[in-house]
This record gives sequence, structure tokens and C-alpha cells, in this order.
Amino acid sequence: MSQLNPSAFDPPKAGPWPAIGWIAFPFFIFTQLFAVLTSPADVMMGHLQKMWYVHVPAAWITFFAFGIVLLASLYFLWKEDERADLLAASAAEVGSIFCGLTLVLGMLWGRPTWGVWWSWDARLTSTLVLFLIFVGYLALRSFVEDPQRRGQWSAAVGILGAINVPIVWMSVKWWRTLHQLQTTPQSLSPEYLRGILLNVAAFTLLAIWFIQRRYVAARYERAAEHAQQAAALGGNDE
Amino acid sequence: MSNDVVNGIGYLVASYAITWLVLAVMLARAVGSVRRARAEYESAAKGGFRT
Repeated sequence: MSQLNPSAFDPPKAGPWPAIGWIAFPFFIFTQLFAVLTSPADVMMGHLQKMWYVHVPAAWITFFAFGIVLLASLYFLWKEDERADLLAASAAEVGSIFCGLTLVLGMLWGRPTWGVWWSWDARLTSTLVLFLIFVGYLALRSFVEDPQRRGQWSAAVGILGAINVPIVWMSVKWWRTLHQLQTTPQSLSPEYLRGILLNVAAFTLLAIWFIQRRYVAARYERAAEHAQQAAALGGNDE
Repeated sequence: MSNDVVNGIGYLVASYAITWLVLAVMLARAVGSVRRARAEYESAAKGGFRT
């Protein structure tokens, strides 16, 4: 049997987290409409600039989610607490979706502005590598049945993948890239910055809610597995 | 400014449509997976088995 800390065998406790969804979705709709309707067309990019209000927050959530994978994976390796492994997996799933979304939105930006859907430049390529690592992470989890081994192997891949995040972030500075440099509060006029910050906040709330829901589902699944094993062994919890 | 940029409204609409679609699917999946997993747990806790 697994030697993991048995804390994940109990069903999750109800908390205030579900309420975040009730705040996050209306706030998201408001920030999207606010940013699109109030920001002026850019001199160079025209209305295409408004793609930033989905592309930049999606990229931020990718980093945010993979940051959670890193911390939860380290905690799992330290404490062997399966709850940390389930949290890492939940964050990896959400992060992978947002990473894929970032790539697709980047392609939709690239075609009209650069003239190509895709370029093998450092930012795009390193983001694709990040995406593929976490797709591999999720595939690995589905192949390994033993929870302890699954946790250890996926923690190793998760940490390796998260190490790629600073490389993605710095790629536009380290190499000559087609992709522009990072947008900073100093490099943007306030009418654009306001929209980006509001949408980053809204996407962050959504991501927290998505990760938490996925984590709750994973905890129930794990508790159900344990209850079935216990029933099969005649009520012996060990 | 290229014609593509001037006529970029189609790309802009596509980017928002894809984002909203992805989020809607994630929302439906998040709600559904918790309900399904909870029902599975309650069934297992009562001594039932998954089908």
C-alpha cells in the first residue's frame, strides 16, 4: 500500500471558495466590456490592440498556475502529502489550458501584425515547450496508477516545467525576438494599463476558482477510491 | 499600418470568441466534475460501487 500521508483520503471540507465564482464571473464580464469599450484604438495597431485584454491575462495565468505547480510539487516531495499532489495536478490542468489559449491568441495577433501565424522565435518556442511539458505532465499522471509514484514523478516533471517559466519570461530580453518586450506599467498609457490590470485581476479570480473546483473534484475522486478499497478489504482502512 | 491590421476586427472578434468559449467550457466542466465526483464519493461511502 501507499505510504503517503493519508490526509487526502477524507472528502474536502466545504469552505468559502465556491463564492469566488459568484464574484469572478460577473467581474470578468465587467472588466472585458470596460476594457474593450473604454480604451481608444491604438495609432499603430488600431482596435487589434484590444486583444491584449485576453492575451496578456491568459499568459499571466499560465505563469501563476505553473507557479502553484512548483510550490505544491516541492511541498509534496517534502511532506509526501497527497493533497499537495492533487493541488499541483489541478493547477497544471488549468495552466495548460491557459497556456494553449495564450498560444492561440498569440497566433491570432501574429497573423495581422507580423504577417505570419507562427514564428520559431524564442518567446513563442519557449512557450510551446512549456505547453508540451505540461501536456506531458498530465499524460504521465494518467499512465501511473500508484499514487505515491505518480506524485513523485509528476512533481519532478512539474518542477522541471516550472523552471521553464522564467526562461519564457526573459526570452524577449535574452534573444532577439519577433515578440515585443514585456509590457510594463511604465511602457503603457493609463487607458490601456487600466484595462490590462483589471482583466489580469479578473482572470486571476477565475483561475483560483477553476483550480479550487478541480482540486475539490480530485479530492472527492481520491476519497471515493479509498472508500471503495476499504469496502473491498472488509472495512480495513489500512 | 497593413491592411490586415486595419481590417483586424475579425482577428479581434475571434480572439474574444475563443477565450469566452474556452472559459464557458471550463465553467461547465468545473461544475460537472465536482458534482460527479461528490456523487461518486457518496455512493462509495455508502458501500456502493462505481458503474
